[in-house]
Amino acid sequence: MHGGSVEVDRLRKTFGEKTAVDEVSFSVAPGTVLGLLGGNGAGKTTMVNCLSTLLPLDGGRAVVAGHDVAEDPAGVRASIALTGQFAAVDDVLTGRQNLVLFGRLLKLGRKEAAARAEELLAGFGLADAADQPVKSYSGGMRRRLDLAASLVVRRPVIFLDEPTTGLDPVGRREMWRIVSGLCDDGATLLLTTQYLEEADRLADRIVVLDQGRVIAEGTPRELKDQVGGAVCAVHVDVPEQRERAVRALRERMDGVTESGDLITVPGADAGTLAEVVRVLAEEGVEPDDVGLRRPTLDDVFFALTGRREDCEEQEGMRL
Amino acid sequence: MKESRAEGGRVEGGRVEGSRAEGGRVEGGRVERSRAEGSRVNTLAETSLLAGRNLRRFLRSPQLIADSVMFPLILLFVMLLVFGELVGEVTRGAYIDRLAPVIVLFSAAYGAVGTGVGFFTDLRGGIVDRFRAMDIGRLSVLTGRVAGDLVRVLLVAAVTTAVAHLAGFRFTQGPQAVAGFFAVVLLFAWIFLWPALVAAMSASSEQAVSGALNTPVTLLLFLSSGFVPAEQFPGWLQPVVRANPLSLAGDALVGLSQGGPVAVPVLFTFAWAVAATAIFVPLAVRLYRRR
Repeated sequence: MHGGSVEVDRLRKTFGEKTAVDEVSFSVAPGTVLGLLGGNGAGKTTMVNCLSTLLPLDGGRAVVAGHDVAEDPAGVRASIALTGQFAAVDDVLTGRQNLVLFGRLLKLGRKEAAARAEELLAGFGLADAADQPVKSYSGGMRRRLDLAASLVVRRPVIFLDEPTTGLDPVGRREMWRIVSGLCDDGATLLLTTQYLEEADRLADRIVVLDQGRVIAEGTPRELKDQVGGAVCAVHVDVPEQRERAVRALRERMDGVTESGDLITVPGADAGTLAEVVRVLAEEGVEPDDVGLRRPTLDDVFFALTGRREDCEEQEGMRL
Repeated sequence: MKESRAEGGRVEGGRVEGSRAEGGRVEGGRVERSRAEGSRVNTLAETSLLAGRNLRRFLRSPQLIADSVMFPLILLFVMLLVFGELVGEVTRGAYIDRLAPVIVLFSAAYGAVGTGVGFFTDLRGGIVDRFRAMDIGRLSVLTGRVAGDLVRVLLVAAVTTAVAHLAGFRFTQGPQAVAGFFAVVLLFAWIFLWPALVAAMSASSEQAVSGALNTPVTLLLFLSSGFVPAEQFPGWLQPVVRANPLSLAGDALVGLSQGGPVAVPVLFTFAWAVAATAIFVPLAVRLYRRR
């Protein structure tokens, strides 16, 4: 199946006084993956709900797989698969019963629905739990079933709203593997996420949303260049030791910054790290923590807007 | 995994997408049929699938079954014990003849609380959004919910009636009257199902849904001529008791099981159903569409 395109032109959505999505434009080429990156309340879910016809637009235009969202919502619904933020499956039914139900609703015959359910259960690592009620599933299993449920019938455009939020690292990795598989299949994907790492890993292009507006757009590489890439982070609690460390590091390296008890040195290679550790040892500074830190969404926002957001911390690469 | 995907694509290409894009080739005959007819057939199929899902949920939830079956039955026996002799003397008939129909009706109205809470859970959990983003009939979710819950009401009514049979309740008017008995139960349930859906869509919490529904249902039960004859209520309250749909449908059920007037109470029950339909169906549809 070939992917369909998504065109969004100055889309606007308000809730009373609050503008949730403000003149957002972007386009997703067929067969590519777009990551909508933003914190809570950035307008990601509203965006997905507008594009999947769950919410009417208040302005602008959106075309999904050739169907105008406002004029031909039925056409849009026949072209999309949606996996929302909540695992929207029936928790009393078993995994298999869920998939058969969705298949039958999408007009598969009894046998086809059963066969498709079987395939999906196997492909998503749910075969063993197929006949257990969903209630007994782990968070990761629920999410996988949820994704499987939206793929019972394959669609040219797939929306994934925060597919890994709330999952543990193992669940997240498993989800990434499955989503990568979808991309390889040629579907067009629009994925929302709070994690820069996730967007980086899965998306061809990233649109950064902040308070309903697009504040940056580009490939993961372009975006990371803007943020400045990974850094070497040094925590020193004792102020006078910290001052000494900053002074010593600045003498030998470029771009050393200090904020709070955190000193950052650009460059995330082992050489930089070794150098930092050596300098600290020479000065007799005992750091509380030294490590490599990949840029988080927080850093993206800081780089783009100059203010810190309350974003979930990402698992850093600590030594 | 790759292979299974490719296969899945084939399944779908042949049928699902086929009925849309390549319909002319694959199942031309079916697609050619008028759109309206096709969508009516779909709505019916979707409604029964979704109704089946609701019933399955019910049958797999012991707690729900216990609540919706046991509570009315406990009420039946408590009332029989407490008021049995007292009221029986006044009405010159076996109290169970009067009580059983009312308990059956109460179980139907009480079931509406389950409808409201169940639909609220679906809305909250996101499964309704999933249905809404699928290319199925816009209102199939509502019709499926109502159809499934009507069947549930019928099941619970059958169980309640069977237990009442053990306590002496009998059908004496022939099989047609039995069918009429359960038809009135469904008509009565209909009056409460739609307000329950409206409550589910307007409330902000599960407690709010059950709170909004429990109070009127309980009030209706005690302000009916079911436990106590209408004449025993204070004069000013009697018109309320007589106009109560539970009293009216109760009269109809007594007529259909023991003999007595049927046409008039059925007509009044029907009037209640028409009124509820006129008010709550458009409201429910509008709330659902606006979500």
